[in-house]
Amino acid sequence: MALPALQWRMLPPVVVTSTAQPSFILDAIYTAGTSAVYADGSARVLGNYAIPGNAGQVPTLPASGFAWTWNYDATTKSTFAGEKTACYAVPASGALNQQVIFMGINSAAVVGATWKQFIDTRAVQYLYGGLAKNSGVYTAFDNALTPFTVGDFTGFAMCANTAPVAGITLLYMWESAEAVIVQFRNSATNGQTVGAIAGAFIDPLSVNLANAETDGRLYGISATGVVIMPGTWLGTGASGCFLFHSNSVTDPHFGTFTPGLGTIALAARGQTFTPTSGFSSRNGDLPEIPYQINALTGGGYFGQLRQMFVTRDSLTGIAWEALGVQKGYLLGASTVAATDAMLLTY
Amino acid sequence: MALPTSNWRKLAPVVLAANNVNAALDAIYAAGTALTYADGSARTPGTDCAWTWNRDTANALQVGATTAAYCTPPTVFPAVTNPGVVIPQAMLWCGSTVLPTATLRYAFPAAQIDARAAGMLYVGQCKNPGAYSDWNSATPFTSGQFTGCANAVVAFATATWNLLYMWESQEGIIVALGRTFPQINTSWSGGGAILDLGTASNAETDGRLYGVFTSGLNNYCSGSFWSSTTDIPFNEGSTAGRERFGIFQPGTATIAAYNRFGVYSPTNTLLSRGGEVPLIPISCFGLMGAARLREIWLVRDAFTNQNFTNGGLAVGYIVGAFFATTAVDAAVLTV
Repeated sequence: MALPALQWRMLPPVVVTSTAQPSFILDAIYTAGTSAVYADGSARVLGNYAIPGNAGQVPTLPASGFAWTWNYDATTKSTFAGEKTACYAVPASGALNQQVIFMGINSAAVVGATWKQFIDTRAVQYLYGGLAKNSGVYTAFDNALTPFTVGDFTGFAMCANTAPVAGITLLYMWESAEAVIVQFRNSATNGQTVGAIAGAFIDPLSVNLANAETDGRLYGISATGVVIMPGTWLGTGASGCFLFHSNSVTDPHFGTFTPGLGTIALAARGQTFTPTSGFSSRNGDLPEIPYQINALTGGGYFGQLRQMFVTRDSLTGIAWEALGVQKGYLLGASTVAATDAMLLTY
Repeated sequence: MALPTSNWRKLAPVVLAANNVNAALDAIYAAGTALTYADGSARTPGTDCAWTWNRDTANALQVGATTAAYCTPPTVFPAVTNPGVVIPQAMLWCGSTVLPTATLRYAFPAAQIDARAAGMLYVGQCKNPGAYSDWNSATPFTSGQFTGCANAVVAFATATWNLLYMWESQEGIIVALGRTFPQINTSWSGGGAILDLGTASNAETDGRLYGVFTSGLNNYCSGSFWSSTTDIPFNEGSTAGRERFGIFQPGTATIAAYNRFGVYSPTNTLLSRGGEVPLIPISCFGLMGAARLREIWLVRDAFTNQNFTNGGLAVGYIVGAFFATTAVDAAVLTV
């Protein structure tokens, strides 16, 4: 039986004010994550932490809506007082207490839990993302096992290369009740992007405990590494993109927690698509093609993306409306050119 | 809005009495008029999923031999967008050992016309049919809109066909001819309302799309048909002799090409970690937009004539590129 349909919302894009260091990206993430409105101007019901920036807190979560509740860490490993080193968020509800976290610093040796399936090079000036389940309160991003005191953690995977190699200047964020997507534009000229998808964004379409957690979900993360997303990221041979895993440092990583365990099962796309800008009906309706996720090796099946559909080529970060009705948001590879894209339905 | 869920049934396989078009049509007719399904359950033409068949044994081309078998659906489902008015349809398989001279031929694009040939089995679909008249004419059902006749199989002389399989749902039919030697190949044909746009936009007045498909004359159905681009079902090859998938543009007699969208390479290990067999929806794309095959799913590698059960309950029936012993790309038609 399918999980409840997710409803995606887009946060207002946030300009990253400096490409000098990861803290500016974390500032942008926090700004987007605490916005009181969505990109379409509708109200966003927020939760909060009593003392933003402090660890060890239990948040007050919103009673409804799709908003994740964000906090940040500016107390550990900062070069300068008040500089953010991590941002993390929890959804309004969920049986397995998932939390997503992004972190990065510009000085000292980066420590913290490494990506469990392959150890990315730990370096300054990079942004990392990770996902926890059965988590407790946040303690520190550089804890060797988990930033969240207890529970299971994917470890950190690279999800953006920050300054000076590729300066990130703009942040897009989409959220649903159970998953978050962040995407960073690292070139205003050519609109290239990197980013991460995290949460319960894969529906195992099964309640068998070999296939799904006890709440019927699969929890995981897909991070692009430092590789720029190609325009044909849904097509044959595409790498360096969402929903792709490579066993090389700094490359994209994609995996889910093995149900009931803290280990990671590596994942892969179950098919390839070659949509075009003409991939729509003759009256302009956008197709919504389901997307399947397989095991990286062995040909096994993990599930289907939740309300993330292959559709016509598009720029990223734009909305689709039909007859004045909001239909969804387009997740592509570029901010300036129509590329392979997914429709995140409203 | 999605169309009603189709429920597929499997007819009992029929052994061809001979390797020729007349015997194939006899087998199609025999399968289609069976009073039981392959699982032994009762079948009453005109009810549930059972189509009502007739045949032509008096055609001037070949008097006394079966040169056409045609059928109409039970139409137990309501129209979606125009309540009470489901568009009538008919499916036609036809051919004779004498060269047909006036058959309306399938053509897409206009210059790519499937040839008329003696001994070939053809398939076509008619929307708003009148009474059957003559398949060797431009209007086999007197009136209505007809796709034209597309090559339904690899030529008998080449293939040595000896088995026929058929599956039917309330609004669609699939036929596969199989051969046991030297390879266990199949050719597929069928049609009806087997696509679902998921929206009334761009559909016929009853919410459907109607059309015909075949894996073509040139080659047997590909063993990797979910990734191949030729010799495959649910794809318009746009070349005479190749695979065909023509869908009527709503309200017209004009064909639009539909093509499978996406490249899949399933194996026999396409299973969940719990051992379940996932059913992957497949979409095709054409002028009216992307449309999902109705209860025709990609499944782990398998072969034609297998039944898919779970805990003793029927889940569906397998239509594969091969029909025995070797599991290759396959579809499951869910009950």
